[in-house]
Amino acid sequence: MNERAGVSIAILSSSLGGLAAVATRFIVEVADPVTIAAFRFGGGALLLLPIAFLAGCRWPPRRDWPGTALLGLMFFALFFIVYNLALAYTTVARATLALSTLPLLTMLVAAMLRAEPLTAR
Amino acid sequence: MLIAMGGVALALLTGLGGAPDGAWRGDLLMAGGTLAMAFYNVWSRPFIARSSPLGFVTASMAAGGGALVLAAFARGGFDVLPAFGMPQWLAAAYLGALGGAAAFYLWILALRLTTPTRVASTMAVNPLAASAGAALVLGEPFGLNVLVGIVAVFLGIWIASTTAGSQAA
Repeated sequence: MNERAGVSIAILSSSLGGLAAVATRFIVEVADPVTIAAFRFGGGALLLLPIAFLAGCRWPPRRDWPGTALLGLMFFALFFIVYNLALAYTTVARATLALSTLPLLTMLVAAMLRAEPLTAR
Repeated sequence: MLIAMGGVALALLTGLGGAPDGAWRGDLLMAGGTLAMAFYNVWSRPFIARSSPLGFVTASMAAGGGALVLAAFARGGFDVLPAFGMPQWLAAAYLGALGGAAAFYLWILALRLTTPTRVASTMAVNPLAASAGAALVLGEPFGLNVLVGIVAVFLGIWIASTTAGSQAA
């Protein structure tokens, strides 16, 4: 049940993310990749912070703060600057298709870090 | 996964003729950038387990987003705001609310419920949504090659997702 729910939720997330590429194309002629990413994740964080506080969610413990911050910088900053830069050179369809190499890379990274076994599927 | 990746390769290679000049640069940038996302998918799971999906995504997004805002200010990136018209403001609102907050909360929630590889396999939906949206809104071409590639990646998702539960990490 959790597996199906997880996949369904991830599909919804990926759909919203795919449409973000369309939105990015409206701005990429006017703003630079860093500024576009700042709108997306600076704006996103501003929206999530009050929701998270009101929801009383469990925050990362102090010992996880450095790792959480580094992961945030690596993903939300570095990756999306590259993503927005790419959309200045290529079409939305091609850019997001290239992004589809993610499953293979994740599988290989997970196997390398022994987080998931490699299977025939 | 190989079926899904083959579909991607087929769509990209057969669509090269219709791509803008220099598109290969964008393709390479995207391919290189996904490696960072792959590591994020795997490394973030223990952090999520020790906190919560909402707590982790908010904290990590605040770190990355905060750095981006500072960098944008330092580079004068926000000086372009007077040039924004309604399409740009609507796009920025979508990016922050749905492309940022909603999309990544859902992604982290999914990582809590299933394996990183299964979550990542749904990224194949990304080009379908993007291509359909781009065709409707931007008038970008949506060729048969893209459709064939997307069918292949959906087949790959289905195969990767329909396994015994004991294979989940």
